[in-house]
Amino acid sequence: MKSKRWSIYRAIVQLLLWSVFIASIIYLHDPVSNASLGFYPSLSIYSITVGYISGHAVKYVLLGISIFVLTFVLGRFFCGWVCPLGATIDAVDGIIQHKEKIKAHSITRIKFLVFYSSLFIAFLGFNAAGYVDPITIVYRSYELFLYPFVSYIGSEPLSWVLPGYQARDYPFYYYNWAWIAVVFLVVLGLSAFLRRFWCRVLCPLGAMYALVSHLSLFRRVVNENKCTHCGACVTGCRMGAIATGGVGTREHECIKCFDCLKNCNYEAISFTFALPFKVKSVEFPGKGITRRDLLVAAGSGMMVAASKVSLFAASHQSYIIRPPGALPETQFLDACIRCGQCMNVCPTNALHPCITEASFYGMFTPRLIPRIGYCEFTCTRCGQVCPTGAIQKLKRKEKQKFVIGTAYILHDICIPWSEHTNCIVCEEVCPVANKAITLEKKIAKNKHGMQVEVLLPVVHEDRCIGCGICENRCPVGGQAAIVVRKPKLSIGEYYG
Amino acid sequence: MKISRKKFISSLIHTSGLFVLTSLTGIKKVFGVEKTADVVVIKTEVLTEKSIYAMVHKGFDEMGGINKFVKRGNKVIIKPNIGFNSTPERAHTTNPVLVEAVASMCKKAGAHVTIMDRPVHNARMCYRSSGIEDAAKKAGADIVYMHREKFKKVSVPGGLNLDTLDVYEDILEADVIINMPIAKHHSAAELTLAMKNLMGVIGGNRGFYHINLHRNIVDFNKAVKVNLVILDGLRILTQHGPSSGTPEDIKEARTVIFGTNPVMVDAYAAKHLFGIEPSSIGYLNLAAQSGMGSINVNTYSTIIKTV
Repeated sequence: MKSKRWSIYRAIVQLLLWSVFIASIIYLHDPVSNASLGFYPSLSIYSITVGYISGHAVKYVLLGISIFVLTFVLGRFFCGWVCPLGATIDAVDGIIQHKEKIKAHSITRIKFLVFYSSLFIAFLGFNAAGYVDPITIVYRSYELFLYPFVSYIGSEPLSWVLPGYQARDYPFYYYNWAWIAVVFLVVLGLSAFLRRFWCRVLCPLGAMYALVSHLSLFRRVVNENKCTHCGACVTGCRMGAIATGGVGTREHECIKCFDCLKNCNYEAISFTFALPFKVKSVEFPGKGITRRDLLVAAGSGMMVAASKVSLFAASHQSYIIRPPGALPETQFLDACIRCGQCMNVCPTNALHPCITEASFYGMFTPRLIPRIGYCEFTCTRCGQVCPTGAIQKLKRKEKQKFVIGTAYILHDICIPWSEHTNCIVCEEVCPVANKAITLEKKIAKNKHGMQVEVLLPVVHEDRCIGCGICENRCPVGGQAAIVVRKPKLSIGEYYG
Repeated sequence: MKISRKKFISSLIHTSGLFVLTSLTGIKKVFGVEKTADVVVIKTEVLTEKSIYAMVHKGFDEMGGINKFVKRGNKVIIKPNIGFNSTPERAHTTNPVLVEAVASMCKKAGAHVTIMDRPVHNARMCYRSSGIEDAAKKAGADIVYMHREKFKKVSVPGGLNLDTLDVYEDILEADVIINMPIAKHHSAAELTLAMKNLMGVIGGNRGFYHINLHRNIVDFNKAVKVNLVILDGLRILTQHGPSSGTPEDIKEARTVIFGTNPVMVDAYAAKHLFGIEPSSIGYLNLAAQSGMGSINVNTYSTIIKTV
């Protein structure tokens, strides 16, 4: 393969696949779409591996595994052709002024250390996929940080494509989005030091592909008779995969972007199928990793893993409400890979990412905030889309009995209880078939001193499932007069 | 008893005068100035798609023909109750076949038909699960998801509780508004019928309207005048309304009520579908007091037909 057009083809494919990624977010956000089509997090073999080892496997593995198998042949093509974070970083690289002052080779081994240490703590039961996996990072950031902005500004053009696009009462947003934005912008901003900094230095998924890519069959070959050692390919390589002089290749870093084909003026470079011992890579992946590095990686991994059992541990006294079908708290935190899809598919904007509300270990896990959005009675979308089963796939009948919380009335500010004026909004909206909130008639004096018959709402704890629509719709300003708290039953128990 | 000549002649003149008067009113009848009935009630024996279509046809005929309400090229808005994300079996939302029948009749009359509501739940889910989206598609009508920024402030003439209201732009611009509520129990308003259904074209925080609800309902009807009310009494929710209820709470009333005055339609539906005295319902009382229509059902001129 010698044609210079390949670098353009690659860019086109990358853009197309990025568009598919964007389209999938917009599609899933539509409340009547098929939520079981949320496949993106399962692209990552890293999530699959780490999740499997730590005990909570990703459900759909076919896509991720087939890409991994393809890597044995084509090398690290995923990073250059498929990865949406890679595409975003490429776009940012086009804008940012690069200093390129860091000696790249001294730090590229860090990604292997990230991978090894996360693998190590996966055996201890800590699933790091939610923090360092590029697919979950990019998915979360696009869904929870960028998309609300875009949808607010571009709601008009988007509504031409999607007829029901504006079918929300209010512009949606995600609580704590700023922290997700910080992580995302740091990942992108690192490019100021080095092109594709994240991919070269930190990405554990990239590290996994690199280990395989070293032995892949599709390799870069340089015709030494034609090569003038001008260095155009070396400076042009976004991954720093070409050794000084231009002849040798670090195959584990090459993402098959074919920029070197384009940059070479002497047609010295070609990509062919060759056996790894015939066309040798100039470097072993993770070259320069010392015993000390490994010890540091293991130690820091242990410290992160300790957050699971230490003072940051999952608090059972936590006040936050989990989505319906969520596993018991500790299992839930282990299983969730923080991809944020449940929050994207939620039709009422009820689910929001945590930061430290559910302990440090629960970062970016979904919580239900009833005052912002309630849990739609007939909807089971978050369970359908969840790639790990942290939120179980419930049937509609099961979901309608799954208790996520219980409502309590604050009598001091409730309008009928405190002012003796009829209101009943909470009773009206209660979706439970025989009403978990009923009204008691009482003769009382209202604020004008008149004897009136007033209807007082009363919650029946045995019927309430904690969907939170009462709190959401309560007309009392600010703090609602009816609030949903964690249920007295533990999460996961059913009312018959 | 003796009748004097004078008295005889005068009585003769009186009676002949009466004859003339009655014949004159007869002429009026021939020229079509006759007032239609206050409410037209159409009943059926079995609920099928065909019978619902037949009911709508019959109803429009009895009301004086669809052309009386809908002219060619008119902008017609049908406002059913799509308030909740539930399937048609649960009788929370207007029967989609009924909506389809009305929409396709208006379409045949040459109008541009739009169907809209402002649901309590997510609009996209409500339109889909209630079957209204499909019904609109079949009838060739458009559906509109109300946009939060397209409400306009309107003053309420003689408002009981509110001076101004936010009403949806399209409603204000429409030529014909057909209000198509479903009759069901409502915990706050006692019954939700045609008058209460208008909450779905009003913007703002719905929660606030539930405080002093009865006065607010009357104000909605003062701000928005509908041209025709077609009340869905096919399957009615008699308990645990408006958004829940078990299958036992649903009664098959198999009735559709047509009328031009929402107060009268509501009073009739309350009395004859639910057996509730209209004067016991707050907003009907208030409406009658402010002269929007009589709620004394016995004085209505009614046409009752069975299909």
